[in-house]
Amino acid sequence: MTTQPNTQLHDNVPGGPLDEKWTKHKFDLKLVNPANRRKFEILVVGTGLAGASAAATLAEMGYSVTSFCVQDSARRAHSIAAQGGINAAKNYKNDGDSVHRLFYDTIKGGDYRAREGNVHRLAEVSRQIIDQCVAQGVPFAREYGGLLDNRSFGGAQVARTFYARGQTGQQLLLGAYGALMRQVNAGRVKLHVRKEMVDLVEVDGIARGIVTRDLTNGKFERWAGHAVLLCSGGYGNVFYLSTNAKASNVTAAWRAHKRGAFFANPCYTQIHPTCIPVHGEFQSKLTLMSESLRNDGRVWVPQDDGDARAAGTIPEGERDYYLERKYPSFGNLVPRDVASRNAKQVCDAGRGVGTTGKAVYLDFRDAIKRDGRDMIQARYGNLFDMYARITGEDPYSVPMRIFPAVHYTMGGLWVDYNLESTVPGLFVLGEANFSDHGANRLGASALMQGLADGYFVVPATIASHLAGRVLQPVDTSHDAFAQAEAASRQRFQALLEVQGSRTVDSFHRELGLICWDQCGMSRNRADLEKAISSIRTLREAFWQDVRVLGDAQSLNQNLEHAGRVADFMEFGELMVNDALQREESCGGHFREEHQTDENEAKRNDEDFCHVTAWEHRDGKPSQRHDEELKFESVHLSTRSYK
Amino acid sequence: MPSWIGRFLSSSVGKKTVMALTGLSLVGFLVVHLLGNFTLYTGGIEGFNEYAAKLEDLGGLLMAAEVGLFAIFVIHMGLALRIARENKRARQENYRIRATMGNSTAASRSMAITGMIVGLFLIVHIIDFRVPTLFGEIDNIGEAVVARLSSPVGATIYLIGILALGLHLRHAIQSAFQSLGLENPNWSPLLRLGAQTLAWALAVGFASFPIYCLLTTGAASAAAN
Amino acid sequence: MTASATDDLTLTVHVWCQAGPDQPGDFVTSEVSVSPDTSFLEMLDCLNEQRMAGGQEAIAFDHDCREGICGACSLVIDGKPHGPEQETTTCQLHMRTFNDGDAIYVEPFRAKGFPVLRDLVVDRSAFDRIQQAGGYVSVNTGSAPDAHAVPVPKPAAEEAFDAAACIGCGACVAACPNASAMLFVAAKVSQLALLPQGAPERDARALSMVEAMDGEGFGNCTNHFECAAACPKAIPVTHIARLNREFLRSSLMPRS
Repeated sequence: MTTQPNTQLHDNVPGGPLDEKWTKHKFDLKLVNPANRRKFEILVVGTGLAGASAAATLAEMGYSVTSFCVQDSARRAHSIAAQGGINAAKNYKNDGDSVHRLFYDTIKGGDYRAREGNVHRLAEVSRQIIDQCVAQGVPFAREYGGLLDNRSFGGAQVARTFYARGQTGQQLLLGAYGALMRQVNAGRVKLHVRKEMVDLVEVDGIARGIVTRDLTNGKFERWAGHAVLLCSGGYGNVFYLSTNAKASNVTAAWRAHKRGAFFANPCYTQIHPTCIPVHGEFQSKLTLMSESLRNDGRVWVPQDDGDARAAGTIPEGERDYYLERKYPSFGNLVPRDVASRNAKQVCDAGRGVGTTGKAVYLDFRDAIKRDGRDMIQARYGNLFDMYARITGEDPYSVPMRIFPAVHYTMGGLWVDYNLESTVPGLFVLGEANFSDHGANRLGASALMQGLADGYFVVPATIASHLAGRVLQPVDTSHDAFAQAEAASRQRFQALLEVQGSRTVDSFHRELGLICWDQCGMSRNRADLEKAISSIRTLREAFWQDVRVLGDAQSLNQNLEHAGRVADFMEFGELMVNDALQREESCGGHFREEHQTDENEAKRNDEDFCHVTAWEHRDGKPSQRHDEELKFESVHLSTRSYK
Repeated sequence: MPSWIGRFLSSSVGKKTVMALTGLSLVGFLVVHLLGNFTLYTGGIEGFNEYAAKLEDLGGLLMAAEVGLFAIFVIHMGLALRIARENKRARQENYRIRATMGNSTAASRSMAITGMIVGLFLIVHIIDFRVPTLFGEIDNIGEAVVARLSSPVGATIYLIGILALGLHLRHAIQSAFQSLGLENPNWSPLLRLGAQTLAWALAVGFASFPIYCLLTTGAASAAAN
Repeated sequence: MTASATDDLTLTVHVWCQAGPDQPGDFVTSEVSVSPDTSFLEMLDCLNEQRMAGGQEAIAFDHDCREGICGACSLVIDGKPHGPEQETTTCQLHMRTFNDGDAIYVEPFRAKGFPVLRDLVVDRSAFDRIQQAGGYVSVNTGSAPDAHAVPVPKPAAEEAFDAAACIGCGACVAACPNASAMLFVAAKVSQLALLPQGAPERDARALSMVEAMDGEGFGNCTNHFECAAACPKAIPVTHIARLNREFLRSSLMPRS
């Protein structure tokens, strides 16, 4: 692959002072006359926070919306699993929070690899999101006076996180799902469940439709529209083991990429520090426990490597509370990337605990002593129960064992300020885009971004496309649809025809292991180069030896999985290559060649203060494009949590 | 009839409401019936006959009450059959392996059967006493009752009917409160306790008569020998 | 790895297989050995890998998040929706609950409102249609007042949350001897009835959601309360009482 960038990408961030950009932009945007909106057909792929909120809002505005999801119900998208909370610069706690502080924390947390304009807009609309969700009946935590409660989360120095017990994502998604159901009832949204987008259709260079495959009967269907919104989530499952849902996949994004949408920063993956460790070879997924646990739990490992004593018998003096030791001011609350990397370091040094040696303790002994068991139970009871259920151990009496796991992907399809990709008419929202988190996402920011994109950003910016371009009438009889459908059919048929000897799952696991070992928490040139060749070899083996049973005309979960793994096989290489090209350490991307003497990440602002966006070219190496990141309001500094 | 009434009565929750209200009315009747029966204990056969005579004196009022009761009973029964049929239809193919989750009881699961036994028992009971009194075939109702309940066959029939009634009420009364939405953290435990107590009190109260008759006539005949 | 090979459980698993919606189905029996630390769905994964190695198609079952929140997983295990553990979805059920040598029977959720699509996969779109009938607050994006404009008493907020915890899995229907969907409907009606934001549409919501529920072919609630025992989120039947109350008041004494 070439390393030479060519085109300069245009972010379309409006000029003017940072805090006036969004207001000014909204005024400058063209509008679609309310009477004309129903003539525009918008296709929305995915019903998570971004997809459901966008579909509902656009329908409320009067557009004709068709919405798709792969699950059996729009309520099940993986946004539902987010536990901790959602940030908003409400400053209800009067502790000095403001839009600017949320903006600043997000830019800094992202290690200065996000766009100022986008992030500031995110902080601005964060306040409206809370208003909207409360009005929908989302049961946020409240104080005795009946007003909303906030907590400090993920190391933030202010309490700005709104939460609904440990199920914030669920409650927000059900709010958006309710709004979506209301529009389905009103006939303004046509909802199609168990349908997977398998290709994007362009006419005259503009996204004008998609092809889906019905997961219950294998039927391919064509859908034409005036714009396509991809809200299909992240690609964490390229690692096989992750906290993502089993159906989470890169297919919709990858298909769009192969049709011309650039893929930005795929190497930015977030490894969450507080997950339940891997227990065995048949493990199918990892479970995250809210990082709010780090508010009271203390992270430690034995001081000496190979110390196999039970946790309770290790005396205080022989425990290494390494986060408190290394980062006295943030202690156990350092950002996710720092906490994860440190866990890996102590485990690599042989000081990991548990039978696999790939875990560290998260100990509540002192918190229980200080606040009492009841108080700890009130705060974390559901998480403790979940831990006990999965591991069979009682975390009130023995420390939890935790280990980092792939959790979120900051990279995604490249979008400009309007959230439009490099394919005109194709908008990308939520985790599927790369936009707001830079190289590392702060806790409680994913829900905020998904809803910001869907409720407030795209409903405004989509007019730039609908009113700004001449859109010729197009229907599904157009050649482009026939061609896309035929290609999709052929791809699924090809998978069935290999008739090899290995299961899809075995290939997926192997791919995941390559990515985790060589492109996980810590990366280096030699490993990454090796990973690229391993993935290529594996991809060839996949297409020669995979065995997919059954047919393409019925509910065939094995075939669904095969299609997704085939795309992960291609995407994985791009991700590893991006990690190889980014010669610096920043956020979730840690290159061992680029670290300080104290093993902290060392950014290279000189050469890499940019977004890397990859262009797919059939049969040829991907082409790299850079979008320079300009910082006008914040000063680039080295993140320090010491 | 306004359209909301039809909608209400055909809805699942509306049907439950009617079941609950008719059921509770029948429970009210049972309470009065049992209290009346107690005159057998307080005043012997004569006392019982006096009570019966007073009822007969009500004339048209008694008739109206009986017709009302009959109507309530028919509605309760008819609706129960309809609900049972609908519920069966809601799961056409049943589980091969069946288990309960622990909240349902033998009483709740056998409502249709106990209801039917109570219905049959009621027919027997009416044929035993109400029909003959209506046609003036019984002069001394008190003696007729004691005679019927003293016979082992009669007592057994009545005990079976009353047992079914007890089981039915054990679920029915508290279920009626739930169906009517009478639920409140302060009062519900008391209501539930009251419902259970009433169910068993009615069952034990009614069952006491055949047992009393069996024992006393048994003793009387032993004494006569 | 916590469990060595000798600790593995060997189980006889009888799984319901059915090629399509109106096809006859039956149990298919296999032996499978797994570590006690695997989840129930991972056990089915193993079984499927084993089947595919032998050239047999995998058994289809719904699942997604595998952490007990999305509501996709279903299954009736030995006669119990989501298996023997309380407040646990199938995906969070672990094999250490079973003993070596156990025979396990796995069936789909069975109800007229949940037709089987294939094997253990059922169609629960009836729940979506019930939600469409009014399981929301009609507030357009952007028109909401400040979040602090309306205080909500903490006890009401907490009780609303207990109801809002519903994951829409359908275990209540599966467990109900009458295949009634009352607990599901009650959870949403009750949540929004408890919050001031839901008040303006209370009457209409109770009426239309019950009507939609009845139209989907679910049975009538006869207060067995099996639903609450099966509910992985332990939603209490007090919410059904509130639904009854809401429905009665809306029918008999509408506020408009």
